[in-house]
Order: sequence, then structure tokens, then C-alpha cells
Amino acid sequence: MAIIAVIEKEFRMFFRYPLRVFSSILVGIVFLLQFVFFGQAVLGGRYSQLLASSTGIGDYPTYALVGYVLWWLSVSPMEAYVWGIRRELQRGTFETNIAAPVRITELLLGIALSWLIMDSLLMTVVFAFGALIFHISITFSILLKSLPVLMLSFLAFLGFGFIFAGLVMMLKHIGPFAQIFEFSMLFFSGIFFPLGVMPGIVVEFSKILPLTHSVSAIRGIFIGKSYSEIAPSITWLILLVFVYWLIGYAIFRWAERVTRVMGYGGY
Amino acid sequence: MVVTEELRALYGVAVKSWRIFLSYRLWMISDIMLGFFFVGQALLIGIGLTGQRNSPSLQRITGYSDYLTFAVLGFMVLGFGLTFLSGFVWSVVDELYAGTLEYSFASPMRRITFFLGNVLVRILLSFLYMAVYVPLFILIFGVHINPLGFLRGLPVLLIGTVGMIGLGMTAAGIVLYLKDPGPFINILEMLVFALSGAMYPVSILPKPLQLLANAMPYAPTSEAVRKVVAFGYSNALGEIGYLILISLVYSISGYLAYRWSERQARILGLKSY
Repeated sequence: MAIIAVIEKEFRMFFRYPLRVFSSILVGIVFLLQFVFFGQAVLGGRYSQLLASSTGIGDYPTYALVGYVLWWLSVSPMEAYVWGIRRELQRGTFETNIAAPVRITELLLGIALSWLIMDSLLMTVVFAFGALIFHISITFSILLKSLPVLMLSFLAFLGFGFIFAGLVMMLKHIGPFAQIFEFSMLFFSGIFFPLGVMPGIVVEFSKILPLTHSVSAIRGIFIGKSYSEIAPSITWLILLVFVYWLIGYAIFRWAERVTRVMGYGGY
Repeated sequence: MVVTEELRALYGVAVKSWRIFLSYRLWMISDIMLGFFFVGQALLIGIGLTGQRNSPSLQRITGYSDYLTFAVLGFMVLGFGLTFLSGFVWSVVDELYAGTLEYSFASPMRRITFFLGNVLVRILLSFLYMAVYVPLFILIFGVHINPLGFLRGLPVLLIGTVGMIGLGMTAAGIVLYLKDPGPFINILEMLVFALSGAMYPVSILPKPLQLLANAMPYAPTSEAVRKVVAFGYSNALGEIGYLILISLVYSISGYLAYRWSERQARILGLKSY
């Protein structure tokens, strides 16, 4: 299967530079620590009564860690399309790969999937590190219960990221645009602060982002909620999987038609 | 005569760097938005956790009760400080990846002119961003910045800058020898980011990290600037004294480290792709 070959290629390229793996983990950890330490310095501790009353989780490190790890994973497919394809364009290998007897969607999906798996591995390390230094208690049953929601979230994230696959093929360098988008998602999905502090219209808007529901569902599991209690978030996620895959595919097909006229080109 | 030629070369490098930057204008918007992202997060985290604009806990540790002003000053020192580190290392790396480093180094100008030309554009951008940030932060976020206090902090920032340039030169020397310098720069920038004391006082870090933070020029600069802005020079003599010392050490060691690496480069040759 071509998709497996693409994943293997991406894995080999990433893990052959151990310093790169280490730096990615460090970036993940430092970014997390900045906000958790800031929250703790402002709070003078780790527990916020206000946070507990608005979200159900009063322990700030737990709240931030769950949200942050999911945010990182949610932007992973987007990053894969924006930087992975750009890298191939820079190296001049994109056109030859397109010419290979493989469907272009399979090729792109392979890149996104491999980045998502790699980021999941990196985030597992960051999550374990965060849980260790902030003394967050995690049980096996919480992890097991989170898995199906995580898989559903991955499907939604892949569909959401697919929107960028077509755009990057057509516009080539959309890194800054993607960066703005990624940081906006931190705000709109309530990663480091409760969404309740935002205006009502922003809270409504946040519902169209899969990350919002994914974070809400998994935080719910962490405080012992059952599947039926987090059912609204899961229903939203299922709906958004279909919506984003449809939108992403439609944009991709349109961008592909335009790119065939202009040429895939390089740098 | 030599000075005039070096200045012309400096201008040439700066113009080239500026033109490259301008060809990706969206980066400027993205960079500016990063500041709003940083400060906006700080505000919303504070309100989401405490429901207030002031933190008694932060006041106990740092003397600042307004956590947003605390974060804004830290962010400005960090942004300005990273200008030098990033300017020095990326000017090598960008040309290395483009395959033009050897030609640039072979041109009849001093190495320091090449680096300063690249850094100059970043300093200019840094000031430009500050000119955008300060009024908008005051307007949108209600940040309390006393103009006199702010001006008082500038000489202290300049003292810290000497040390930051020294660290940048050391890093540039190391980068010359790495086959894949990207991860090294990422690690260095992240260490600076984490240990700069931009968003939180370094005193809340574990002891070994506190030592490391105080051994780099960023956290001592942030602390000295904050103290001078809020309490004046006479109350920050200890912090300023330490900053002068550390800046002196970094500037001398940076110069020596870079000279050594350049001598090595003349023997071994510069790597290229």
C-alpha cells in the first residue's frame, strides 16, 4: 500500500535526526510550562475555584495539560500539509511524487497521518512529563476511556487539516497564515483558560471547531464523567467529521484543478 | 576609507535582508499577532483563574500586582533579546541553506559587518513592533505603562543587550560547525524562552533551573528592567550590578568564541549543502 510507504518514508526522515526529535519534545514542553507556570504564579497555587465552577476541573495543570496536548495534535495534519508539502516543493520532489502511479489523496493523507502519529508519540512524552512534574494522577481506566474519543478526534482533525492541503498546493507558502490560524485555535477552543470568559458570540463560534468538543469530552473523562454525560460533545465531533471531510475534499478538488492549469511547480 | 566601505557593506547587507523579509509580508502580520496572542492569553488566563486583573500572589513574589503589565514588560525584553540571538544564528543558517554563505564570507567585508547588517533589520522590526504594541496594548488591554518608568528601563535594556549580543556571537560560532543547525537553534531559543522570566518570575522555578536562568543574560535583564520601571534605579542597584557583570562576561566570551570558530573555519573550510 502506497500510504504505508509514505508513512515509512516520513518516519525514517524524522527519526534519523535524534537532535530534531529532542528539540521537538523540548519545544512541546517549554510551550506548556510557560502557560502553566504563569497560571500558577498568578493563582499562587494550582487550584482555582473559579475554574472549577465554570469547567468542572479546578486543578489548573490538569486543565492546561489535556487541552494543550490535544491542541498540538489537532494542528498536526495542518502542519503536515503546510510544511510537509512545502518541503517537497523546495526539494523538487513533489512533482515526481505526483507523477508516481499513486493517487494524490493517498500521498497527502500518508503525509498527514505520519505527522499525526509522530506528534502523538512526541505528545505522549510531553504528557507523561507534564503529569510527572505537576503530579497529575492518571488511571489506566481514564486512558482507556479516552481512546475512542481520541480516535474520533483524530478523524475530525484530519478532515479539518485537509482544507489546507489544497490551499498549500495552490498558494505554496502559507506558513504565516497557518500559524495565525493555529494560535487562534488556542483562543477559540479554551485551551489555557475557560471559554466562559469570552463573549457569547465567540463561544458559539468555537462550536464549529472540532478541538473544542474534543477537549471538552476528554476533560470530562478526566473528572470521571461517563460517555452519556459527554454525549453532546461526541455528537458534535461525529457531525464535524463528516462536515470537514466534505468541505476539505471539495476545496482540495477545486485547488487541484486550478493547480493543474498553473502547474505544481517548485521553488 | 575602510570605515566608509564597511558602512556601505553594512547598508548593502541590511537592504538585502529587508528585501527578503518584505517578500513575505504575511510574516510581519503573523509576528505582530504573536504579541497579541501572548498578551491576550496572559489576560484571559488571569481572568479565567482569578476573576481579577490583579494578583496578590504575584505581588508577593515580584512587587507587581498587575500580571498583565508584568507579562508585557517580560515579552518586550524577550522579543528584543531574541532579535540578537536569532539575528546572529539565522543569518548563518539561512545563507547556509540557500548555498550563499561561502560567497558572502568571501566578499571583501568583515564578518561582523555581515552579522550586524542582518541584525540591524531585526532591531528595526523590533522597534517597529514595539511602536505598534505599546499604544495598542494600552488601548485594548488597559496595560498600565508609565512613560517615564518605561524610558527609565531603556538604559537597563541596553546594558542587557551587550550580553545578548555576546551570547548570539557564541551561538553563531557553534552554528558554523553543525551539519543540521535547525534543531540546535530551536533548543537554544526554547531554553531562552523558558528561562527568560518573561511570563513568570524565575524564583518559582526549581533551583537548578533558577541557576541556569540567572546564568543567561535574559532573566537578569527582565528582572532589572521590571524593577527599574516600577521602583527606580536606587532600588535596583543589585540587579543592575549583576547585569553589568554578566553582560561583560558574555560580550568577552562571545567575541573570543566567535574569533576561535572563525579561525577554525579558515582551516577546515565552511560547510555547504
